[in-house]
Amino acid sequence: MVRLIAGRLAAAVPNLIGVIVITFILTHLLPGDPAAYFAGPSATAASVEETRHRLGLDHSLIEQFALYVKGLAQGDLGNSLISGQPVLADLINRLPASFELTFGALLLAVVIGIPLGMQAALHPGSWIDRLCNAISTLGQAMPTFFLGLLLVFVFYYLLGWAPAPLGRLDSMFEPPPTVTTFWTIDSLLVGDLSLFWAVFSQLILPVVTLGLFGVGPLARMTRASLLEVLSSDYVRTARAAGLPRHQVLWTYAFRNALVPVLNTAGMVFSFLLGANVLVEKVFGWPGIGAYAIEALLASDFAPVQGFVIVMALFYVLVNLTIDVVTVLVDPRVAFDA
Amino acid sequence: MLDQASIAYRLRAMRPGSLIALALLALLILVALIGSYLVPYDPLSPDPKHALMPPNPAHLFGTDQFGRDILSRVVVATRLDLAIAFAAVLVSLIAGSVLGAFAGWSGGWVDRILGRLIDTIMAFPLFVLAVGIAAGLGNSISSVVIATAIVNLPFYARQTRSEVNRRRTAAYVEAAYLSGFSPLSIVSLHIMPNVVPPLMVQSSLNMGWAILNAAGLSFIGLGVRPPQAEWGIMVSDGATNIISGEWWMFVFPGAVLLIAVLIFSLVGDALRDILDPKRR
Amino acid sequence: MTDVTADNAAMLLRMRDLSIRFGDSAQRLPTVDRVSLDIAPGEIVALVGESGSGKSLLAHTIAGILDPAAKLDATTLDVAGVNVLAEGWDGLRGRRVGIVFQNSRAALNPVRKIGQHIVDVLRAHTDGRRGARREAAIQALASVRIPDAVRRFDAYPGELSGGMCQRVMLALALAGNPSLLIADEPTTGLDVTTQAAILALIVEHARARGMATLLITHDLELARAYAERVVVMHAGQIVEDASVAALFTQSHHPYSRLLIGATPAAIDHVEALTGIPGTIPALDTQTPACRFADRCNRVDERCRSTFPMPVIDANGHRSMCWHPS
Repeated sequence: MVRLIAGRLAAAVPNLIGVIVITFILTHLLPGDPAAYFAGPSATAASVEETRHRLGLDHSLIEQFALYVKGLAQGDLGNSLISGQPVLADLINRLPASFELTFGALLLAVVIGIPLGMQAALHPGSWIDRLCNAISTLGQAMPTFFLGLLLVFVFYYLLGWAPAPLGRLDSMFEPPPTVTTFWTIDSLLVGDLSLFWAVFSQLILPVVTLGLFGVGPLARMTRASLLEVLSSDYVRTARAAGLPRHQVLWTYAFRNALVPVLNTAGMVFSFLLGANVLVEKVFGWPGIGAYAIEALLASDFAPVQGFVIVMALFYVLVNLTIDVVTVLVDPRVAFDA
Repeated sequence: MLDQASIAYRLRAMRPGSLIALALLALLILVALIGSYLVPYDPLSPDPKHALMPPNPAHLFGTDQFGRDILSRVVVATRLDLAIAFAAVLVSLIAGSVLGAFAGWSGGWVDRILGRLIDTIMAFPLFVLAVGIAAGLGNSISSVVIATAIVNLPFYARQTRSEVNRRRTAAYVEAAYLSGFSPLSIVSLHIMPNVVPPLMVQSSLNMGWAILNAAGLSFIGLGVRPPQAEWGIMVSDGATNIISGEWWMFVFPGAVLLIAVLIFSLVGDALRDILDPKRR
Repeated sequence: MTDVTADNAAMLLRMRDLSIRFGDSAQRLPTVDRVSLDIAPGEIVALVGESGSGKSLLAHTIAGILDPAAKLDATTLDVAGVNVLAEGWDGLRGRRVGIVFQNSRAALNPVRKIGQHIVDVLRAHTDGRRGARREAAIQALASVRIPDAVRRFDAYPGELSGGMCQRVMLALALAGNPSLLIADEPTTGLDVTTQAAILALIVEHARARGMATLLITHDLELARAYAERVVVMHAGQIVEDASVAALFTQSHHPYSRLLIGATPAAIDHVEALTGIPGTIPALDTQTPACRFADRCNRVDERCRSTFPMPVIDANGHRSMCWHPS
């Protein structure tokens, strides 16, 4: 078992290396002279040269790569031109906002998608099956930013139920003391219900916008996987042996249907990390996606590079976690390998 | 094997929804091709006297902050969005299948290295990668096309690789090889025709995704610049006007965008029915 | 319909005019056509027929796991004294009727330990403490001759051979102490020695528990070796029902004769082996009333238009043919 997990870890390493290499290549595709960018618009030729030397851009590509990797290992992702801060510090500052949003969306997608898919599998051809199909198709085709704007228009402008899409918390409130960095949890931990409600109401629309995207794939995969398992020989044996219906459904069917659903959850998480960027823009969310886009449009490239690396690394970690969980859930993996 | 007769049979046996989807696709393509010649107003020229008008008989979709007719802009944007998506899918289809076929045929370390490359692309959340590539290549339409193409590439590469790999050891392929046919001709004449149907289904779905990707990048401000008409950028313009209530600015481009992607999704299902009705 | 045995009250299975139909149209012919069958407590009956004769459908029906898409229709169907047409199979599955399937590895939950699987069945049908159930499960494994049962409790189906999986299936089916065990082609895919071992095990348990057994097979050899009574099915119709001795010495139905003629061990020399002409007929408007008509050498017009009246002799030997031998 430990050997298997170690194996999965080892398999993730080439991916990590690939991510680092590709990000390096991407940022060195920049047209024009990065030194000129970093030196600023009013730089003289001498200061551009000095910037070039300081940034190590006068070294060979290989040497630059070595410097880059060394910097990464030390946590140096460069500095942001806009904020003047080290990129790493900026990212750490803004990560919790993105995390809370993404995890909230994943939770929503799981809580809606999996039961929907299950009901569709248990009653094929019924209205719930058709609903599942419709929601999945619509969710896949719906542009995330459009949905966000629609929700803002309906629930904020027309109905006045939702607060203004201006970020994580209305300026009247102070954020809760940091424990988990998730403001929903932290405000509950100090028992401040009005704060919790303020945080939550800012969170709902962005989470629904982002999460709806994930409902489709999860529902579809749950339905397909469960349907297949329900018609399997071993479920037939369980029924024939007179096992109670809920045990057949959960212990015999659902557990066996789980692995493809877990893999889909990983894929959904990847979509969410990407679509995060769009949702943050629509809702003025102070996360790393918005940070990267602001930087990008201002030709400030270090934050963009940092953002891409962090997202990719995070995704590799998530996949690794799913791989490990799969091994725990499905013992077949142990002796198939 | 697919032949004339079985395709004809499957066309007749299609669900009505599929036929509608194909018809809508034809309509969409028609709009893309000749729409710009038929629009009532110039999509680019401002008309300040008529700015921010809600939908009315003269302007069915209303006007934007510069007085430009939104309907005209939406129609003209169809060509741009479809062209970007089509170019991206075509590039990734060709590059992906060539890479995949090469990997599937060669096997060994070539396969492994290419596999690693593909895996690494897939290790990025795809939109993030698109942003990164578009950033690296500069803020232009071609970088959006390339970014979308690279991000879509793995699907084609994987599918082609597995199909070619599967057939590589088939008896008829071995026979052809021994008879002196070059690998290139074997792959292109014997193997690829079998790979084409699933690739076509995949392409339709990828078109939808490419449109969303391109519109998303434009929404953020990458690629398409004003005053060009493109669905994503129009939604982005309209976003600022929501709080003042001018909903038509973002709703119409967004809705058309949604419908276009839906059409491609349904066409993909229809293609799957035609090409492989067993797998519903 | 005449009764097939004298004493009805004690019958474990009473089936009269049972038909199973697929598809919507009332025009379509039933896959299983007006079958009647009785099984007495403790009896070992073999149900024999070619692939596609409807044997498994019948087995699944009795066990209460018929495909919901199938439409069931019968005058009487009593299983272990329960009128299942009115009351359904709840409480019967696993408890009064057990079933063993072919391809047993696929029929066991791949992510559940086999011991735990048996405990699940025990929990469904018995009371008692958890510890007692674990003991009982180990006993059950031992009773089907699984070596080292204590350790094997924790094994997964993927770790076991085909023969062992079949034994586990048997233990599962017997865990609820049913009065009727259905064995649906329990030895397909197993080597000859294992086949014999499994069947011997089934018969041993049947005798020890006074349990009736319905052995479903396409192999007349097995029927002859292990059963007391044989029921022959063709294309969804029962054509003959007799004791093993009676069937092999003086079968009445031409199909039974041909089946015996095609069985290597039942005849003297290989030259006497015959095949059975034709195939199981399709179910459409052309299908004759006696579905063997197109393959039969004694056929006449009456066979095509009317299903033969059953002829029953003093020993209960039942046959459905207008031209019995």
